[in-house]
Amino acid sequence: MSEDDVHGYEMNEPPDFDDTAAESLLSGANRGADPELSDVLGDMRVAYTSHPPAVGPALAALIGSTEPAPAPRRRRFERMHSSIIAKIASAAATAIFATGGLAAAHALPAPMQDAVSKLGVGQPAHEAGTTEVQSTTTEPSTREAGDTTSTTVASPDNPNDTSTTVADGTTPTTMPEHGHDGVSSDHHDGDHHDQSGCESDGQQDQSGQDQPDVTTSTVAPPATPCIPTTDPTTPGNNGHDGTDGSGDANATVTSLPTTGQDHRDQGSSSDSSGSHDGGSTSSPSGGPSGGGSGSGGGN
Amino acid sequence: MVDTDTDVEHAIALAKSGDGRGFDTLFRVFGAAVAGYLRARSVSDPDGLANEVFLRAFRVVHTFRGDSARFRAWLFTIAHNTAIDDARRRRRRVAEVPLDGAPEPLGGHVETEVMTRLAHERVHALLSSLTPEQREVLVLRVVADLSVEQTAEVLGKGNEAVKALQRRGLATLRRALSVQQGVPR
Repeated sequence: MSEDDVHGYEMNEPPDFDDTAAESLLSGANRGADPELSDVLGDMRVAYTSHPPAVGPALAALIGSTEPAPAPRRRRFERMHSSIIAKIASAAATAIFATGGLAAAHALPAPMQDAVSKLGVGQPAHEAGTTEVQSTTTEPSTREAGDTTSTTVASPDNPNDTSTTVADGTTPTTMPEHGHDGVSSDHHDGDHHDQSGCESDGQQDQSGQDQPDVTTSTVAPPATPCIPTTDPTTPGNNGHDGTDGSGDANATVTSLPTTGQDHRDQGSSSDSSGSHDGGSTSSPSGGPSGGGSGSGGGN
Repeated sequence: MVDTDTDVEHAIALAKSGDGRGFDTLFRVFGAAVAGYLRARSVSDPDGLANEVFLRAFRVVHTFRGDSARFRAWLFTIAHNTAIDDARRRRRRVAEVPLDGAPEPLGGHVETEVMTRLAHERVHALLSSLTPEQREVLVLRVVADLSVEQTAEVLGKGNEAVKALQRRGLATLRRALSVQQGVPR
């Protein structure tokens, strides 16, 4: 035994027990040697070993024979996982709806617009500029062979490339009750107007002096020249020889409601009376009742 | 009751092969003693540290070589080192709640629990009169049920040093008992 194993003060104290007596006490074999100390040692053994430890989750998982306590972290992770899936699904749905809306509004970039248009949403990007369909419809009261109904699709980029003429006598577009509703005052290209008589801004204004309630809603835009393709002197032009340009200018009106009929009745002596001749425009109600204006003659 | 050396050695073999049944048997045989040793060392969380001791042991049990007696000494060496680590952690902490005198929660049998608690308090008071080394030796000898040789292996001391410490520790306990009873020796 070295001095490192036992403290100095222990080395100097006389031992109360010899090794045999100590061993018998510690093993519990000889209680009679010192009953009180033996009881204390017995209490120590019982007091400290009476509570077996609880098995923790990690040890239970290692042992495998004991049901491990459910780990709160795992439950939290599962909740968070499901929440993440729901968030991703919500974000995807939102993106799809937003993309669809933008595609319908042609607000997407060209490649994406083309890709989305293949899915049936919106139109391709290269057709985005042709969305406005301008139709000038002539629907005479009596249809004859050779009547043409033109539908003009104007493109800002290439306005000369988008006209379609249907010559079978059927009108591909519907005639609104008030003819001017179906005609946009924008993009009046002279080449594609079938019988529009827009000539000049001043003429329209001139005619508008007499009938402001009609001309203001049916005239072409001021800066767009309108060249009539129909000979104003052709029969059915209500007897006008076509020299009255103001009348041709108003011929761009696709339809005239009953107010137009009143206008014709009132304006028989004015230059604006020619605005409804030539068969370029006629309304189902106004044509036959045109009386002396002969607007129902058509082409 | 699985407590024979043969059963323990079989459990050790199973544990070395990774069989959970071996871990379970070893935990049931040595769990209470390990936790009691840690309680006597006044660690902060005896049950949690007991789990940590067995986790450490089971992770490296495949490297163990020896019989059941050697395994007991090996296991309590791990418990001893774990208690030292816990003491170091506790010293580093700013605020530490001492659990030495903290009462254990009462179980189902109140009378037994009360007697156990009184015995625990009495034993704890007597052990506080010992030096740390005397207390360590006596706890390993009594609570962990180690032999002199096993105790010497756990503490890294010689057998004679352990014998001397246990003799003087028992003498100190006797004197402390005399003081409690008012009979000087």
